[in-house]
Amino acid sequence: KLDLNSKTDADGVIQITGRLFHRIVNGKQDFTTVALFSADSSTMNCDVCRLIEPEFKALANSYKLKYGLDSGIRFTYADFGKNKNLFQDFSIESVPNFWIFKPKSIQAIHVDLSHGVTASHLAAIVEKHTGKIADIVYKQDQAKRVGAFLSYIIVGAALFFTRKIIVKIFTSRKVWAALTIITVITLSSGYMFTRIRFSPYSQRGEHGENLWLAGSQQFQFGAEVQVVSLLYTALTMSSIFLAIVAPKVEGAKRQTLFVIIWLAFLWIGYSFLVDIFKRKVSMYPFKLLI
Amino acid sequence: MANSATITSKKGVKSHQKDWKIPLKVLILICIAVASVSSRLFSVIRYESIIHEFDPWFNFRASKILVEQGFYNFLNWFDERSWYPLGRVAGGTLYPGLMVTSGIIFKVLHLLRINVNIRDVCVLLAPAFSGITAIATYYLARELKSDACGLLAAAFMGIAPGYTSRSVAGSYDNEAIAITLLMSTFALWIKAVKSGSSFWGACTGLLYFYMVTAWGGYVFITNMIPLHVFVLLLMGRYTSKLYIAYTTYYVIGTLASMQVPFVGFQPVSTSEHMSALGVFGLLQLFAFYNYVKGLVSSKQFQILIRFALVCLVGLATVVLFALSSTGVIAPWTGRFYSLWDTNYAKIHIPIIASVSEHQPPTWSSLFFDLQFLIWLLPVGVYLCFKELRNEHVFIIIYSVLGTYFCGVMVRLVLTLTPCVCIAAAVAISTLLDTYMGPEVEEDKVSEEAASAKSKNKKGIFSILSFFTSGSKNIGIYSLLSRVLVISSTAYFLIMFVYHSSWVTSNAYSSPTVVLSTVLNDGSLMYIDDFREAYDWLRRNTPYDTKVMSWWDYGYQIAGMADRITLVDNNTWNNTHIATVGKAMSSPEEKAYPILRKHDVDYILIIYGGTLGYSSDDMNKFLWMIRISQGLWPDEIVERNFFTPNGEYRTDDAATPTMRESLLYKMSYHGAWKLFPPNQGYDRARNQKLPSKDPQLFTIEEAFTTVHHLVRLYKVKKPDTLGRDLKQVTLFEEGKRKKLRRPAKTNEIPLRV
Repeated sequence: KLDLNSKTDADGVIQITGRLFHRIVNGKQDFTTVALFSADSSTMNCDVCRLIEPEFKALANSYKLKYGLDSGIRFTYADFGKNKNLFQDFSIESVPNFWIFKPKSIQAIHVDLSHGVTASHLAAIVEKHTGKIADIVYKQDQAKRVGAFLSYIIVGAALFFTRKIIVKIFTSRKVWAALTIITVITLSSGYMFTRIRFSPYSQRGEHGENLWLAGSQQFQFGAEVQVVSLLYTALTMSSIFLAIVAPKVEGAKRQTLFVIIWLAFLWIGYSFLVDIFKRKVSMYPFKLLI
Repeated sequence: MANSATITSKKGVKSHQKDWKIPLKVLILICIAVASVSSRLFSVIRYESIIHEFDPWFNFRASKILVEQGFYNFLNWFDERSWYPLGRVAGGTLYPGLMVTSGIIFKVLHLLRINVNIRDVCVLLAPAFSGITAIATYYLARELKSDACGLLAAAFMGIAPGYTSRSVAGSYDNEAIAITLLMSTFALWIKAVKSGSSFWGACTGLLYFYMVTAWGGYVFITNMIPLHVFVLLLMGRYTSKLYIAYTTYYVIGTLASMQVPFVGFQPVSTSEHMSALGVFGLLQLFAFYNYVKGLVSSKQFQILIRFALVCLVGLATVVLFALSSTGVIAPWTGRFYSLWDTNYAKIHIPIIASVSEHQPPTWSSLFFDLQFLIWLLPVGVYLCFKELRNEHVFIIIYSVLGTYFCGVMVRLVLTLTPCVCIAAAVAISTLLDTYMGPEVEEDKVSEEAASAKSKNKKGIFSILSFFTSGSKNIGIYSLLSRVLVISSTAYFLIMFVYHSSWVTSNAYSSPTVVLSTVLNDGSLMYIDDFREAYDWLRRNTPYDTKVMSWWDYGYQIAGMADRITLVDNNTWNNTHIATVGKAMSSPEEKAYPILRKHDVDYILIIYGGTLGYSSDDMNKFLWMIRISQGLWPDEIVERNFFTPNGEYRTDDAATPTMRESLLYKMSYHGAWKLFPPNQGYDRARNQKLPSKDPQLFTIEEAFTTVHHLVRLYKVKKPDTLGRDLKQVTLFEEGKRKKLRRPAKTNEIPLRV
């Protein structure tokens, strides 16, 4: 017989590797299995996986605190990167999956997660299938708590001793101007799109080339945010130089040269911007230099 | 005598100059208004004067109720012909500002004996108000810099695609007048802050009330103005002017907005309004602080202020705790919350996430809507920081807030556009002022020659001195610089006009009701299948016919076909929508009881496989599945509609669950008839048609439009002998086989 207690980690979760899951859920088990099939968020872009994993641990920990390890419920976590054969055995094509296996059964009960992935939602599902209730307790790491406390003291002291400098920074017009302009340029470059949609930084093309520009108006890569941000910054600087700085340049020849250089900068930047826009919107009939 | 004569002549010149500027400005504003209106008339000129989007059809119906039955019947309107069998309390759940505006215009025109149809008033309302928006933008922008800047901002605002996209002729939606009211409210607010007049504060409040009656986006104003006040207080700019302006605006605006039935007591019970109330309270404290400060000595004042702060913090804590625990203060609404927690909508509210205009925009869609204005926005913000008067602070806040909200939800480019137009106008106006300015004076040139040696020593630091405020503004020397910069700017402006016209013409003036495509010979062909289907319904079915469809088409069925609908674009009842989704996703034997329970007579679906129309129901099917799965997770499982490889297949590789679903059967039934044998193809999904024609038992095809786009199916009545409908169909087929009747040649030729 398998000693599951020794395989359970501090959160009350059994980390699945190899054939362990088939040994746990073998049709003869006398407990209910609550299984989460997920993917490590550091290797895959799965926003819901990142949300559900700490909630699942809190769920398992809450049952452990209330019933010990003999609640008749086992919590298992399977990461896709380490359990590809297992995912294939169960024909799992998407993550995360929250499944319940009743005692003496290998038939999975699929749970719909669209109502929410918080620990309280998951606990309601577990209660429905097992009849056991547990209030959710989120674990507080003592070492982290002490570390946080010390950090607060250090930061507080640092802030106190540098308060004059901080006040000067926060009341500086230049600082606020820089922050505001950076924010506006970043947001208008589609940064929130890549953040909300978890766009990849770039993509492999058909011949292995590195595509940084998505060919559609409805999508964009992370690299595009950087390119467009740089372009907008360059165009902003050119405009400010032409409008504000140029009249301060002394000497007719120097000033004329200054104006011509920054105007050329403006034209080149804007032409490039229109060109990459045209590559995304193929029907666009206008262009500048190129 | 000579000196006095000179002075007199100078005065005369100035007076003369001022005389012709005002008519010129009026003329320019009129031209801008005309350009605003005319750039929005593409759809009316090409097609006809119709309401041509989904949502506006309901607004049109409401306007007809208002005009025909009066204001109080309009407010008490219970629409029993939508959301059958529930009906909908329509009058109390809509923003009446749009309809009342149309109604008033309609009445006034009839009073003047101009006999117009209410439909024409509705179609042309948005273009008309866009002209007023441009004028309001002028009044706001000129406070920042100059009249020239105001005119530029008005011109940008009039034709920018970010604004025309929601205000073309035929787009009779709340945004038609809301942006006008938004800009007017902001313009009046800036005027109120500058003048400190309670009159202008009251006007701001009344216009805010008008905005509240018109659009749910009024919450943007509700939070923008107190945020402006809050930032001014943080900057140490409290004045009695600010106090009078905000107090008057807040009291009048809030009390007036409570008169709207849809709003009620929300201003004092929802989180979206708490910041406005909080700033109001904060201003009272500031006023009290300044008042007491003038009465008491400094020592006594410090003691008093500490005591007051302790009491205030304690009282606030107790009040907040009490209100939160009793649930008086409601939590954030789902749609508003999704602006801050960007994952909220995706997980909790599939309906909000399924609407395409609630998606975040890419940089190219912002460039599409704003072109070079979008990269002039940071320049304008920089210039606002240089001046940093109260109205400049407002534009700075507006730019950050507008950019963030627009970055999260593409629909809110509508609220960002005015700010971008104003900031870009400030930038362009500054640039043109610099290069159209006066000549460099000769004495400065001589000064430069004298100090050439000292300047050379500072060569390294000369670049840095450009950014210092102490550096002298000499002006532009050479004509070449002026010509180059001014002509470049002019070219960019001309290109913006072309861009805006092209975008408005090609992307925003195509009604979703009438489609168009280009044939091989380059000519344009119109696809009018939607109206064809609605016309068929109106002519061939009884008045009380119930039509089931996905909610996208609910308003059009109610408005154009004038038939009863189960769900429509209001999306206020998630369960009812999920029920329709369940019927579409289920096999016929499970769907039929649902149809019967809801008295459904006809089902309307959109099938784009023949035309290649990608916004059809099969491409929206996943959302039907997800929404119904949310309520019935044991019956509808999204996973079962995908192949083992995770593909969304509709050809012979489709899963049994997909193949048996009602929507699949209705979509592909008879689709093969339009193609040669074994060559059937689905052009919307680029897959072959199923080799076996789906067989229907409980429904039958009633009508399919000429381009096979809109399909209507009649729901059969129960068999009078009590037999199962499947048995009836099979029996009839067997009977037909025994008699050896020839198969009907019912082929429909493809007319493309």
